Amino acid sequence: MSGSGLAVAQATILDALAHQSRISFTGVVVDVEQHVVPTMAAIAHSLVVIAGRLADGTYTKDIADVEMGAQIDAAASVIVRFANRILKEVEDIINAVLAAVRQVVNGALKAALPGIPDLL
Amino acid sequence: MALRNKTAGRRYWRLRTKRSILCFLVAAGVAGCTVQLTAPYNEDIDQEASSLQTNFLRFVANLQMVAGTPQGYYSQHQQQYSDFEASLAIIRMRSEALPGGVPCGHAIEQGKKAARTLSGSMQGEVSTRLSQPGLANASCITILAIIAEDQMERLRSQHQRRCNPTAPPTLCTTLFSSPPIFNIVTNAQSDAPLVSAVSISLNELVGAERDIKPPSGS
Repeated sequence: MSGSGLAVAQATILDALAHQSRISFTGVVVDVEQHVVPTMAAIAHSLVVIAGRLADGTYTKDIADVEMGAQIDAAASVIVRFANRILKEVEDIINAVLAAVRQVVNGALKAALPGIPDLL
Repeated sequence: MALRNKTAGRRYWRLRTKRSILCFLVAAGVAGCTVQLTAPYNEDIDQEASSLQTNFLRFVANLQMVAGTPQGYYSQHQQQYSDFEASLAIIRMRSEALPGGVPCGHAIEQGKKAARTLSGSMQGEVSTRLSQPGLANASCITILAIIAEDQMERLRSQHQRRCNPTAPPTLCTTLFSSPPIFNIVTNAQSDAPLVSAVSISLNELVGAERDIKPPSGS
């Protein structure tokens, strides 16, 4: 591959990386604002309700402990889903870069050996 | 002489590094590989989890109407808990059987940053929960299924304890609160903390499976 060919290949791969990163991380930011924060706020409200009911005698300590444990698990669920989402976005970015590499390799092989079909 | 050797050495390593990168890229391209960091999407899990969520919300909406009366007693609703827990066991078994993906624990460290919206001690307790044995090497979907199972069992045991002929009716009404069901699922004003927590865990399970669903047409 010539020097200019390498530069084009590098630009193609970088474009793929930048494009997919923008899509992925914009989605994550929106998700945090529209889903994670409101859900955590709901959990915080529940904690206040539990504390109030414990204080006014509606709940025994045992009931409060169980409901408190449920709030911790709810928060853990939010975090695990968020972690899963991050993994998926990183996966999408890596795969976008690999697809760009495939495109570059196919282009280079076609230039070197005209008439052959795509190998990938 | 020494300077010339040093410059030639640097040039050699630069060239070698460039060649290594090029070789890696070509190898990656020629292999046609893709990486899989999450568990693969599974339509059965998606459908089972969605159906469970729908049935659970119907169940709670119904109980909001009858909590504090004999129709709300646990003995009248025992069967539904068996169905919910069976659905969660199916989801967990299917998820555990899926190949691929990296352990969710690796990503959870990053995800914990989301816990910054929680106050001090709660953040520590969430970290402790996620560090429990058995969760470290599981996929995120499996962990969510395990948490949802624990949540459902909590609700079942509280329903049994708080909604029966000998318990004060107020313990049952505070478990399910009053209609509309909308307050429990969509805003931060729920007066039924336990039902709200179960609802959140189920929603995260459904959402996590949807997050890994490939775009239609691909």
